[in-house]
Order: sequence, then structure tokens, then C-alpha cells
Amino acid sequence: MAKKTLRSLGTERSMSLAVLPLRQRLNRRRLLGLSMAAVGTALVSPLIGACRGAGEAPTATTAPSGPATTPAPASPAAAETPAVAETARYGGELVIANEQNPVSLDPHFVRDVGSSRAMFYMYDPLIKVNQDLDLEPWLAEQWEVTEDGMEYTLYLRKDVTFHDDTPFNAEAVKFNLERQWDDQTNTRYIDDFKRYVESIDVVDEYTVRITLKELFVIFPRELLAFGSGHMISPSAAQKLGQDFAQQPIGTGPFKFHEFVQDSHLLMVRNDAYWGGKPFLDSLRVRIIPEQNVQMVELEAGNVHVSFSVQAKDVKRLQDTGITVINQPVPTASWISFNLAKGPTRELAVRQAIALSVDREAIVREVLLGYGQVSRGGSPKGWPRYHEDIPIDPYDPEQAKRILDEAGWVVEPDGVRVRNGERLKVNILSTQLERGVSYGLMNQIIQQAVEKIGIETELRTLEWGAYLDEFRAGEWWHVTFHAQNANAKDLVGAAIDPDAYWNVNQLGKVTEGELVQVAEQVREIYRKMNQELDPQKRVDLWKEIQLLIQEHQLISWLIHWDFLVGVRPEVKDLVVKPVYSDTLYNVHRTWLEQS
Amino acid sequence: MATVGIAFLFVVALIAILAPLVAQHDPNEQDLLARLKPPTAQHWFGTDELGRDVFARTVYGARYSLFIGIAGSMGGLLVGVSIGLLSGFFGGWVDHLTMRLIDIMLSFPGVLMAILIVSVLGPGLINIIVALTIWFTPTIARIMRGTVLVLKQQDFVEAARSCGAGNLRLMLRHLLPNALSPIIVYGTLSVATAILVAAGLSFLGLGVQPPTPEWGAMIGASRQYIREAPNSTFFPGLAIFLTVLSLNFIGDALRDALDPRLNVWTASS
Repeated sequence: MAKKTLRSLGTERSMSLAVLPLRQRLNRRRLLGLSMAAVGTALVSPLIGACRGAGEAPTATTAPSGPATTPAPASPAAAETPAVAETARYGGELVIANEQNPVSLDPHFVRDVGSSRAMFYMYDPLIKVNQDLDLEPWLAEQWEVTEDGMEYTLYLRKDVTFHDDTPFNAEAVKFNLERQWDDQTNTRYIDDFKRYVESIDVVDEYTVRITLKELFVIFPRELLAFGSGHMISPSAAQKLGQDFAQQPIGTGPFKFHEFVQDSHLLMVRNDAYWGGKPFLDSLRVRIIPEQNVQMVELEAGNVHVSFSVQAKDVKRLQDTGITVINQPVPTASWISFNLAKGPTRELAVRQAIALSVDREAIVREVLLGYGQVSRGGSPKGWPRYHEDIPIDPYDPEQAKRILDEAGWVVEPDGVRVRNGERLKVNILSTQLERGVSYGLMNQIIQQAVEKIGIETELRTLEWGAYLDEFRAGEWWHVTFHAQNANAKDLVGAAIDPDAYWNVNQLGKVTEGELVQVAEQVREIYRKMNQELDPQKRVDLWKEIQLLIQEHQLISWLIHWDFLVGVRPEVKDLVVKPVYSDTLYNVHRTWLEQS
Repeated sequence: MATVGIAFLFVVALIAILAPLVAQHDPNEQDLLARLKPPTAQHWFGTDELGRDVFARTVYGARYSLFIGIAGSMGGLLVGVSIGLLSGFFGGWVDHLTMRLIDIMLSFPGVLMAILIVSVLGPGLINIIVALTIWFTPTIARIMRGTVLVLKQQDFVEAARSCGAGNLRLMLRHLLPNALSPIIVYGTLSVATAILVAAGLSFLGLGVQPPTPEWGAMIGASRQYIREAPNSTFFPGLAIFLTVLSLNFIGDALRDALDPRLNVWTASS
């Protein structure tokens, strides 16, 4: 039976998934862990140094002519794997590495990458985001939307039961969705449900109707496919109350067995799964925060799947026979300019900074080719990618000319001055690592802008403090920032001046031409939020992309590839091109027995 | 061993002072085309994750690490000795108040206390030194107070007092010089501790700000690449190891020389 080992879950702040690629709070446990690691590094590094010959080049230094990783399989079918009798596929435990503890095991309290990736296997959503990032029927076999986009009718599967044998039906869906606006429960989705959802009605035993208060074009994707769309057992939730997070019960292919904080989450097969009996006996999610440790465990065979592979690891992993799946994901990274404070209020300064960074070199040398220079904030092949949007080129000479023309003259100490004012930007940084390291990128930006005569001060804050300062916009003028999205057309930064995480302080601008730009952006966002046609939304976003380019509201940098390491014995694993809820159809995944 | 320690520290100090002459490269100059290279004739210690010369960074790092270590423990000595002296000399409510405060400070685990201070003040060179000062103060104050309590009972203090010496003169001319030997030993060892703690805080990202080449910060930033380019963590690690070891050798030798309870007599053959 499940042990009561769950502690301190479900207490962290809610955050927008699209904005926050990773929740990584520096708590005391983590600090102690790191201090141990510090001691360990000091002790171990001499040994490692001694073991490597001086002439032996580190593998990461040779850039490949092009990424040689396996593209994500287009079809989950076992076409490439040799025929293995279905009965021979049963058994085994799949071990997945996860960077952090899930904040809760109750899906309605989960809105971050680290948690959803760890625990969604115990649940099913009403609607699923599939490997093409399209919406797909799941517990709702079918759904209809009225033409005005205000009323959704869901037709539910009839063959589903929860792990505690509670039947899944319209009443269960009503219970789950109404739980989202209950003040007592106070889930992560309460604000959205209160704002957008008018009522949830049971039409018949397997039909539910949801009426919206105001148009929300991405309602099914945001609120029926992610945390709030995952169904929990009403009887268990009512019986256990807050303790539900310690005895989670869903309809998913795996049932909860035990969770040990900072160690693992163990789930066992649900024999009665509606999608067919899963092949795996059990699924173990191991909590391994250190990226290098994940790689060592993957190579050693103690972990089957890691989502934390970096470009530097690819060759070594491939040499040990591990498949590295290279998933193009809708990621974006850019330089945020503070438009409301400091020298970055001036267009010339923003343009000069944008021209000073060598994006090609970053892709080639830091990402070792596993990425691309950003054009308008979208990777190639995604709806928001447009060839006619220009890329900010690397041209430090032009950058210097722009600053010269703006009256910033280089003094003997190399720093530009105008009317006695030194040109200085404050760079905000943090230690976050997702695809690329914020610290590394900020230092690259720092050196680039110093070379064109701008003085800098760099300050590194812990992730939570970083976000507070990032939002406040009091100190910083320039910072590297990155985002990823869980939908095709959602790529991009929160340029909306009224967004909670407005990335460039556009909403706080009070003077100059940017006031009018802010108004234009607001108007486009207003239209975009009312527009049901995805193509028209892409067109509207293009207007913003052009405004960004014209006024250098931010400066797009690079897109990195999402690299997933999978051991060869794992078969039919389908990786979705999203950071959250990354694996698809885990009940069809199996392990080749050696 | 102490001689070796002193010699090594002398060299490190010399390198720190003459850093621009010793290192041919700018410690902060990035070269993305030469990231994570192993040691070569051009880059003696190889390069780090931004293509910076690890030798130059280690050499310049000596400046920061030694400065933080010495400034931190000196700060602790200055404040701790003053508090201990006053508290031991005057006794009474002054003693009670300061010692209870010090009890409270001692009840925090040292590293946590330092992390707490830096978290409140924000990361940075000066704040690390402040944190180290606060860390060392209670212990030094305790040692000083204990020594002063013993000394002030002794005849020479009574004699000086009867000759009309004031409180200040008694404390500074008679008590302080006689109470210094345990403090000197502790002070030397605390430099070693300070370097280690500062390296630890910088490793955690709570110390000096990038791109400052402090040893701990270098290890912290490069540890991700420990398997690809162990040189970028190994050399700053070695620098910390040897410096701290030298300081400990010197501290041990000083203790042997200054602590009467540790006197060892060996039969002459």
C-alpha cells in the first residue's frame, strides 16, 4: 500500500506555464545538496583531471557539421522495431529522471513543467495535446463548439473507471471542473475558471455542456487539456479532502504506489486501463536535480529516459548506444529591454545592443548546432515563422555607428558618454538552465555590449527573486529571457503590455513614441483574444512581430532543440514537442528484456 | 610543513599582486570559438565554458579569494576582539547582554547563517566579507572574553591599576597584547575557513558576481562541464585546496609555538 511519505506538497505559487520553463526554487534542502556537491567537486575534480590525458580533447569542442540526432518518430507505431510478440512486451519498470519534486500529486494544483512531467501518468485529460501539438479526443470522445465560441459540449467515453472503481461520467466531470472555482479548494486554475467559465451542466450521463462567460479561444487547450482537465476520482476527493494529494486516484494507465520526497514517485500498472493493459509493470520517476548526474545514470542504465540532455552530452550518449531524440519545440529566447527605465528607453541603444550579439556563434559553439538563429521569435517550420521578418544581424561596427550618431561618444576609458552621462546598462541574471543557461547567455551579452562601449553591471539572483525583479523592472535594463509554449501558435514573448509577465515593461512606458506602440500592441492582443480562426491569429501576431522588429521592443536570439535521451531497450516511446506533459501514450511503451 | 605553507602562500600572494604580469590573457575575455579546450601551450590550464583562459582566471582569482579570506577574518577579528575585550573586562550587564547575543548567533549553523546574511544583503564581494565578519565574530569574542577573564585576575593587571592606569590603558596596553596568542592562531585558521566558505557561497551563486574570477564561482560555473572539460574545475579546485592546506599548516605551527598546553618535550638522544 501507499506509504505516507508525502510532505509539503502543493504550497507553491501558481505561475503561467508558458512563461516559466522551470520552477526551480533554491530551498534549504537544495542549498545543502549543493554545498555537498561543492565539497564533492573540490575533492573529485583532481581525480578526474588526473585521469584525462592532456592531449585528449573534450568531445564538446568539435562542432558537428549538422545535428546527427534521431528526429522524433512521426508515428508511434512499432514499424522500426523488430516484431516482438505482444505478449513478450509485458513487464519491466521504466525509470524516468525528473529535475524536481512535483509540487503536488493532485493535477489541479499542477501548472508547471517539472510536476506535470512527473505525475500526469496517473491521470487522463478530457482532451489531449498530441505529438503534433493538435488537440485530440481523450476522455471526451468528441466535442462541439458553438459558432460564437461560447459553449462547449463534451461527449464522454463510456468505458472508463477510476482506480477506486468510481465510474467516470458527466457527474464526475462536473465535479472536477466545479472544483476549479471552489474557494475552499483554491486550485491553480481558480482565477481562469472564475473569469471565463459561466456554468457546467450535465446533459445526460455521458454529456457535459460548458458555457463561457467571455470568449476564450484557447479554452480547451488551456483548461481542458492541462492540469485542470485531468480527472480525479470524485469519491476519493470528497473522502480525502486535502489528503487527496497523498493518495491520488485518477483514471490513468498507472496507479499511485508511493512517493518519497527528493527520491522517487513509483506508479504501478492499471490492469483495467480503458486504452488497453499497459505493457510496463511499473513506472518510476526519479528526482535527480543535477544534470550531470542524470547523464551518468542514463549511461549506467539506472535511468531510461532523461529530458535534460544538452548539446554537450549528445556525442557521449550516442557513443554509449543511447538514442537522443531531437525535438523541434516552439521555444523562444531573446534579450528583454526595459522600455520604461534607463538607457534602453532609447531606440539607438536597443538597436546597437541587438546588433552586438553574434547569434550564429552561439548556435554553432554553445548549442553545437542543436538550434537555430531566431527569426521573429519562431523556429522554422512553425506557423509563426515568416521569411520576410528580418533577423538581427551581427554587426558591431554598425552598432558603434548607431551609438556615435546618437551622440554617445567613446571616452578614453572605452565607455560612451553623452552630456556627462555614462552609457551603462544593468544586466539581470539567474542560474536557471533550460536548453541554454541564463548565466552563460547573460555573460555573452555582457561582453558583446561592453565591446561597443557600454558599461555594464551584472547581478545574479535566485530564480524566484529574479522573477520578482524581472516583473518589477526597477533595476534591470537588459536581461536574457526564454520561454516555451505548449501549442503551435502560442510561441513568443508576453509583449502584451497588460500581461502578468510583460517582458519589456511596455505597459509602464509614459513618454515618447512607445506610448503609441503600446496602444497598438494592446489593440492587436485584444483582437487576437477574440479571434477564433488560428490563421487570423497568426496574421495578427505577425503585426506584433513587425512592431517588435521596427521598434526593437525585444531582440530575438536563438531557438534551441529539445533533446531527450532514451535508452535503446525502451521501445515505442513517443515524445511530444512540449516541455510539459512530454510523453504520449506511455501505456504502449515497452521494454525489451535482455 | 609550516615553511612550505609560508613559501606557498608567499608565492600565491606574489602572483595575486603581479597577476597582470603573470597571466598573458585577460581573465574575462571570451572566445566562443575556443570553448572548453584542454590545456595547451597557449592556454596552460585550458579554457572554460565561455572560452576564457582558466590560467588567467585562476591567477586573478587569487586576488579575490585571498582578499575575501583575509578581509573576512580580519573583520571578524576586529569586531570579535573588541566585543570580547569589553565584555570580559567590564563584566556585569554588558557581559550578559553581549554573551546572550553571541549565544543566539552561535546557535545558527555557520553556513546557514552566512547564506542567510548574503540572501538578505544580496550577493556581492562586500556582502560576502560582511557575512564572514558576522560568522567569525561570536567565536572570536568568546575566545577573547575567556582569556581576558583569566588575565584580569592576575597581579600585573592589579599592579597597573594601582599605578593609576585607566580602563582604556589597561585594556589596550596590558590585556590585549597578552590575550593575543590564541587569537592569532584562530585568526590564521579562520582565513582558511573564510576562503572555503567564500568559495562555497560563490559556488552557490551567492558570492561574487560573474564574470569575476573567484575560485569558488569558477567551479560553480564550470561544474556543468566537468565531464567535458575537467580542467576548468580542476585548477581552481587545486588552488583552493593548496591555499587552504598551507594556511592550516601555518595555523598548526603557530598553535604548537604559542599554546603552552600543547608543549611537547622529546628526550634528547
